[in-house]
Amino acid sequence: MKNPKTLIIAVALSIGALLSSCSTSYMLPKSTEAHANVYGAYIELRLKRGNPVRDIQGELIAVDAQKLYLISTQYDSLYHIELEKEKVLKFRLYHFEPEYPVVSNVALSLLPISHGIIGVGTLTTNIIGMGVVNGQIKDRASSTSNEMELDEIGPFARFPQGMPPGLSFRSLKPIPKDYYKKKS
Amino acid sequence: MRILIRGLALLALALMVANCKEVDYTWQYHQVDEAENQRDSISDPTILKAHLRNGEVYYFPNNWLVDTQRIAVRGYAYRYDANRDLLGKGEELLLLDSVVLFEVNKELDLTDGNAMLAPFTIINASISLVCLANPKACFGSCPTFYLPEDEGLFSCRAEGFSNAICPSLEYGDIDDLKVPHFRDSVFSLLMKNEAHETHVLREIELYALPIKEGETVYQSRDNSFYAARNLFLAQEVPFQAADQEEYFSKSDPDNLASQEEVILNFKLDQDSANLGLVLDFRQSLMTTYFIYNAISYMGDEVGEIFSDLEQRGDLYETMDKGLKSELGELEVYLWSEAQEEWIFKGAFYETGPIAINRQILDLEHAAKDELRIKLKMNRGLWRIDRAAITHIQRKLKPEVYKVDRITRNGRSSAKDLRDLQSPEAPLVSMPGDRFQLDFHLAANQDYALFLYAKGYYLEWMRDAWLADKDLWKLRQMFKTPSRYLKNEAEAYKLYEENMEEVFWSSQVPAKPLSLKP
Repeated sequence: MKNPKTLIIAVALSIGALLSSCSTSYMLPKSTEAHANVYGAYIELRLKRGNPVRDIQGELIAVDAQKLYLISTQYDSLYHIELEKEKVLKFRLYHFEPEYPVVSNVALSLLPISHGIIGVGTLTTNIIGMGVVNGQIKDRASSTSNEMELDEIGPFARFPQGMPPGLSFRSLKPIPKDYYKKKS
Repeated sequence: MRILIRGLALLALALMVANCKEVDYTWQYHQVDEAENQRDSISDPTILKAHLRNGEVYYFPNNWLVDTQRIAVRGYAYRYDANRDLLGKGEELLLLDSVVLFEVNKELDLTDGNAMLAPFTIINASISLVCLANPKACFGSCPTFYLPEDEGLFSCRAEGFSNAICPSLEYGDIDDLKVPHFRDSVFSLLMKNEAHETHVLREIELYALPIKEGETVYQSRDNSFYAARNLFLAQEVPFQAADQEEYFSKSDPDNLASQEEVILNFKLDQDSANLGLVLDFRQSLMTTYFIYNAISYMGDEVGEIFSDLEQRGDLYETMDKGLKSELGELEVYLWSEAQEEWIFKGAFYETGPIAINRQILDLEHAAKDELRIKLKMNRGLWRIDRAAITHIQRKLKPEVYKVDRITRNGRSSAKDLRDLQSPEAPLVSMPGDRFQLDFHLAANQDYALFLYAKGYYLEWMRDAWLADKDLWKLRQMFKTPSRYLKNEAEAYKLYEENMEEVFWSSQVPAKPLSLKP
């Protein structure tokens, strides 16, 4: 475990966990606040080949028979997206923010340094353990196209009843950037 | 320690098969009585969201009621517009006909990720404590050599100059790489620094022994090479095959110099002359323990003491007459039917606990169908993986190949190659370094391969060792080793259990268990 490369990999893993825990934080409530959320779930979409953009993320506003309605603030711009369902290849829908165990991830990445000759063994086991736990934390916070159909995601939209008639979709405002931060 | 590591592996496995999807927290209904039923079926507190046709939503955090006429929902509510701006809050009476969807939610109470990893953290912290309390058990030593396809510390093919713990003890060491037949023109070897040490490498050479079909080449302790045929394994011993299922005994709790004897019986299939004993062996961690102890006894004077020993110039003799002489070698005796006594035939010796040494001892003996051999050795110092008798055919001379190309940590390094070829500026390897050494061999020739490595290494002082400073014990170790081995037996016994566990635990993981990726 004296290998600086091993240490770099271990620290990189920890930083990766930290960054991934931050990536969706302003769009999502904590798990303890999920039940009280009045906005839509955060959705990541991968579109089929041939579309000018392959990846879209944002708040799910509504779903109807043909389309998904999303508000995206990707690239620091505001987009109101009406997307035909048939263009979607796969998706991941986040119900709440995955709360990765940052302290444990860092501790389990660094403790093997003190394990000497067996450190690589414990680091390997730790990486597997952290990978599994972090994966489960991400999985329980989200649902994917492997678990549900696109037609079933409507209940997690801002308007689970469908797009309200007479409402101008393009006039809808996105989630304020500091909304969940203020709440927590 | 083994229990801790196995626990870690089991935990990882358990986590992989566990299913932690716990996201049932929201249910939606068009009829308010269905929402009421759902609320009543949940023991946890619930909230209600009522979605209106125009996109507004009423959020009832608790105690919402449906009035008896079923015409309205009553309770304290927050009212949001389609943009989710708060329009107002207070006691509300929301008429049902304005609502298109009722949403019942309960608060999620998920297992905390830190709690999920807590068993890992506890086990890791326990291992850290064990290693901090006994750092001598957790750190390896010497430059280690591997083939590129080798995985795991104990697939190590050779350890270089394990005794050379300072410049004056520099020496060259030949090891069997256990590559019995190599026919390609390029041979690559990995050299790693897997410990808290500075390795200084003066020479690295590949000894290639041309062989004929059916022959195996063995190296003797005096670095002669023999071509041999046939292999007769020792009967009824727990270390027949070369499979790392080794025989070893625990040390004597009263005296670390205690000896033991192991009798080996061989059945030969013909009258045989020119017999040789082939032994696969390595040391336990006992010598590592003594080296680390010696350095820790020096405490903060380690620099001055080593400098003094270097200047005196008799360190090698001091060590040879000291502990090494008391611990003894792996002595081989042959039973003589004629004389009805054991005849001493020679001894094996090689320092190092990681790579298994494979050496031959020419018994200078002919036998009919049976052979009895006795190994006499220190209790707790040696591990035996295989003992076999072979027919020595002839003595061989190696073809010596220098390193043609060096890659350090993935990058070709002409400087390292120059250093290795220069006696003035040897190649220096620091913890974590990994070298690929390429040799070009004559084509179309079957070779058995051996490695010659010459140099020395400097053990790094660990903070934890400074507290062990004991110059009196250091003096005893060098001047009266027999007394030291008796006095230290009890303390070593405590370490031995731990060290054995660590040693064998380290064999378990299969993937790049080498300390360098």
